[in-house]
Amino acid sequence: MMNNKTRNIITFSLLAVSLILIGLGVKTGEYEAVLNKAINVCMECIGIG
Amino acid sequence: MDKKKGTIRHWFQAGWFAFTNGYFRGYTSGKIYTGNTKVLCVPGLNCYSCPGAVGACPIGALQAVIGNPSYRISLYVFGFLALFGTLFGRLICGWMCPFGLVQDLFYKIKVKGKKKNLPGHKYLKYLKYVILAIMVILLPMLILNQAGIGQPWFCEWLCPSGMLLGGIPLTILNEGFRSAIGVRFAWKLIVLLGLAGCATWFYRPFCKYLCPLGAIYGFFNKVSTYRLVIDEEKCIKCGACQRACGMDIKTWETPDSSECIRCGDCMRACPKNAISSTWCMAKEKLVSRCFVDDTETEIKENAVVTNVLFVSILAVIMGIVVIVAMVDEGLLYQYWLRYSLEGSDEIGLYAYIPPMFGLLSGGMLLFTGIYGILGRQDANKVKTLREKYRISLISGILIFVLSAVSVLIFGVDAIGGILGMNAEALGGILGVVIVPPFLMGISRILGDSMDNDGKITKKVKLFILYFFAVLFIAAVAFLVGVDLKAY
Repeated sequence: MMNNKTRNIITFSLLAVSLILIGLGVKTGEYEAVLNKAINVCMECIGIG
Repeated sequence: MDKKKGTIRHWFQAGWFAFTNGYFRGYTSGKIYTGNTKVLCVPGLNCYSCPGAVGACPIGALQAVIGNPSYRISLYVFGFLALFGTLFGRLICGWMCPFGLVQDLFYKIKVKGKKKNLPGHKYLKYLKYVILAIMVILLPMLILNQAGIGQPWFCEWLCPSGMLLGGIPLTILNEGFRSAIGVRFAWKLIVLLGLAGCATWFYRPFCKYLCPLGAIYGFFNKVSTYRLVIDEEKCIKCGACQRACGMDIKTWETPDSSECIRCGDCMRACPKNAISSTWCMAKEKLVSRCFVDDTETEIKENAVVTNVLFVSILAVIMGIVVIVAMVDEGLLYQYWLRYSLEGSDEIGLYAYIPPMFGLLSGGMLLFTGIYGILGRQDANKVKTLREKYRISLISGILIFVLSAVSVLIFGVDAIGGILGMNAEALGGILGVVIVPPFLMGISRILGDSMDNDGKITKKVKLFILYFFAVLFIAAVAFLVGVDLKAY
């Protein structure tokens, strides 16, 4: 079983990695794909089309 | 008292639903919200086609990006999933998911023959991982239409949230949608009604067997900041926690099971109060969770030094990355833009200011990282638990505020399409790492002026000063950003 120290290091490393991933996603313009999908009605989601 | 705590969770679920679906005009107009906040993912399975939704569903967004010929893999959405998962784990399922609330309410209906699990639960609980791999990732990635776009298979055929929050309200409110109802609508309605019926007899069947989002957050339960703690001395292994647990988990053996949705029923059921929960930074648990090994009973001082060293090394790495990004994609890019493109002379010297702020931020990161590494032993001067708690708490708050401000300021500008601002967004987000080593640096400076009973007035004043300095810098950067946006 993981001790708490290892666990805390993993936790904070994951937090840092997640922020870096979001930053890279902004940099590569992925947010535009998300925004475009989210601001239009998703026909598949609502079972139409 | 116990019942009251359970009720609080349902009120929180309802409040969270209202918060993330607060575009009330949508419920009367039959149209969905189209504002910029939809660039951000919400933690729960909340369809973005709900008329009131103000954020994006992470599973829907994941499929949209995977199915997009330009990307095929989504760093952005995985970043959100990792962030939410690391912070909360499956606490999100128990407290922040609208369809979780719906299933909880159905389970409250009094009928005969209620059971926790479906027959075959032992194997069926792995089905959600299969759905995640196949319907959310592989099919949208591999089966493409003529334009090279993958379909969101999970949303299309299985997601009950889309039907409940999007399909039903939109078809009721909007004549156009109503006239386009077909076979797929009927199928999704059957799925929704089937799950609702199932949830009346069995506890949260969708979360247990089908939800890909729960499968993802389950991976994080062991390392999330929110955890359950078992007091081994108090626990008599009576099994009361498992009997109370809707997810049927042996809490005393696996408190961080990937199936646990952190509803808290086990804590309320324990006759010996042996189960408690903690955030990593919680005051009472700080001794046992952050500064003491499992086998030790006294405060482990070197743990602070190790933490400072770890964060400081991280700060140095981030500082170098930010400086390179600012010089390369900020300053040099602006220079190129100014002198290489015709008609770009109108872009004023303002354009250099955001990268300069980014450069300053990177420089501070690098400086404080080195400072933290050199001065790590001085962190031991912070001896009392109260001081450690205070530093940890203030670090946490500052990290949160700074990251929120950075994302808002730089993110908004990046979305606005301002050239060269993406690098600042990256720098701004990475810049949050600056805070802990900076605070430790302050501790070093004021080490001699502190006493052991927690009277650290000067330090608190400096904290406040630093906080307002950060806000001032953020405000200036925001004004510059707004000004730039005018171009």
